[in-house]
Amino acid sequence: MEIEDENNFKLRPMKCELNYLSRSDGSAILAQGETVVLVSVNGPLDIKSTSQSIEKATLEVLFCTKGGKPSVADRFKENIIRQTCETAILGCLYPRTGISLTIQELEDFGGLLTCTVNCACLALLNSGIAMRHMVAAVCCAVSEEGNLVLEPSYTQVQSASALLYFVFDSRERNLVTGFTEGSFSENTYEEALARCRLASDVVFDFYRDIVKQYSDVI
Amino acid sequence: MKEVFLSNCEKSFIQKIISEGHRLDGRNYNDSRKLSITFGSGYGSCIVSLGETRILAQVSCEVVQPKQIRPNEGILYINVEISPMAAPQFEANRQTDLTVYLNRLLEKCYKDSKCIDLESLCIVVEEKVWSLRVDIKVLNHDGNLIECASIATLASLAHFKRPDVTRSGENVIIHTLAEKDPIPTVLYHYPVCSTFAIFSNNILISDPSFIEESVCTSNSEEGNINGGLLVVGMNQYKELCLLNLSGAAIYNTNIAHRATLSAADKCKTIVDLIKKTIIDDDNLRQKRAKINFGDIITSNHLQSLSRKDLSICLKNFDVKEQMLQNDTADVMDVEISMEPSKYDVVQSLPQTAELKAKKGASSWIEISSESEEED
Repeated sequence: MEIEDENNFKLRPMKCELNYLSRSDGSAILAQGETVVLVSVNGPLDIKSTSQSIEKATLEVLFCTKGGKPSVADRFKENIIRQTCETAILGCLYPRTGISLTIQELEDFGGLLTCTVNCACLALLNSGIAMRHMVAAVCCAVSEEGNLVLEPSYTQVQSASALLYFVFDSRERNLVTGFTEGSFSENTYEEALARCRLASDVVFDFYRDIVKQYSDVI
Repeated sequence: MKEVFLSNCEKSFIQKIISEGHRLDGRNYNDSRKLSITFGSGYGSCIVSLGETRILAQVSCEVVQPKQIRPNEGILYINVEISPMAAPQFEANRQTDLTVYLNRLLEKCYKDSKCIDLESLCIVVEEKVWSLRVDIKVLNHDGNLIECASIATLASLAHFKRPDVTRSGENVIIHTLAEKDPIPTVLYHYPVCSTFAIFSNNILISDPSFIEESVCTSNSEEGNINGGLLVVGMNQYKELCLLNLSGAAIYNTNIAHRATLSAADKCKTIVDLIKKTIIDDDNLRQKRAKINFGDIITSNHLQSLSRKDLSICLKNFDVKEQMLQNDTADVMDVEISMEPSKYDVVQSLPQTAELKAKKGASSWIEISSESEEED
């Protein structure tokens, strides 16, 4: 397994603002390259008794596209984000409550899901909900020639033969979620996983920089 | 979540200060909050913020079959959605009275006032017309959704451009944006709604905030409502397009007249601002500048609390002066001095102050070489 220039990751420039919305408990707007996502977190709050769980908080995720009707693809994204965030949140501290996570897509130029996961993590940090660990998502594309491209741009996504998404935790850099589109070899998968794992450090450093600006204790 | 209940002391306090000529955020009766319009990368998408109220509008188009009774007219469809993002009491994918009310008002203002040239949206009579769909998403609900939503609708419709089409015999070719320049929507006039809260059947307050809205439509101690919300829709020629009253009936004939006079000037300035931002945006696009919603992310406004400013602002209040005098008798200073260690008081708007995390050494908890996320 060969990793070229492993310290030289070019992730797309990230820009973030916390507390963008005044009526939510926590909110974050994140731009990764040209993709922009807005996430708000409310909770722990009172929910109807049918969806309450006596063991842990129920996480409700809602993904809103920019325009048009809701589709099956949105439900798929909601599922991925819910499963990812459920592992990150210490839900057992808030039994019989609900935490609602609302996501609004603002611009989609590739890598929408990674941007959404990262933004959701920042919003959760902002809301002050107890978490086991943070999560960072990194996307990797396999171009037609078989090269790996970290955080592909819009045109690279369109022409890619496969897309691989990985989400890591902040403690041991373990894989939390992984999903793929297209076909690729086993070696490519291993290499992409290793590269994305190293690149996730950049995302965690970014989280730290952002949170540092807003509060001096965490 | 259930809606937060409006307490009696809040209600009577607001009614009292308003009758004395003050407002919670230090505005005068006729002042509006700060309005800003940002456009996204595509045509017809914008975020409008009116104070802390934020609304996203997106126009999309598709080719459909026209309605039987209007075979040569395009279709305009307005859809309002309020997700839990706006405020925790809203539920996902659920129509509430507020959404229906907003939807109907916007339809009255934009469809029934015939401001859009629907005939120009026709491609083939009785077969193919453009259908414009305006999606309004409320991002943050801090009062006066109607005015903010109407500005967002108008700005996105005026900004929107649809792909050009050519007809060759039976076939219709829709050109991509790269092939042929897209066509802007034709608007005959620009109607905008403005909201007035009526207090004690006499006082008119423009651009009410969330708490002012809830106070003026709530029951008084005697159990009846004596205030209401008056929505006035007007275009740039000062022609009335929409009038809607919710709450108590007006028995003071003067009020509606005063509201329309005040709305006329306000709508004119708003329409001028919309036109100006669209022209500026167009110039930037011609210079091939990249416009993106990422531009709204700023780093010059970092607060430690989700409230942008303390919601109470006083007229003629200067933080710096107060800090020099070290006047702790002021209500605001007392509030702030509770947490002196973590936050600085900084001046933001002229009449207000906000809390900000102190700069400098951050006290991150380092646990050996492992991790630091003890949230």
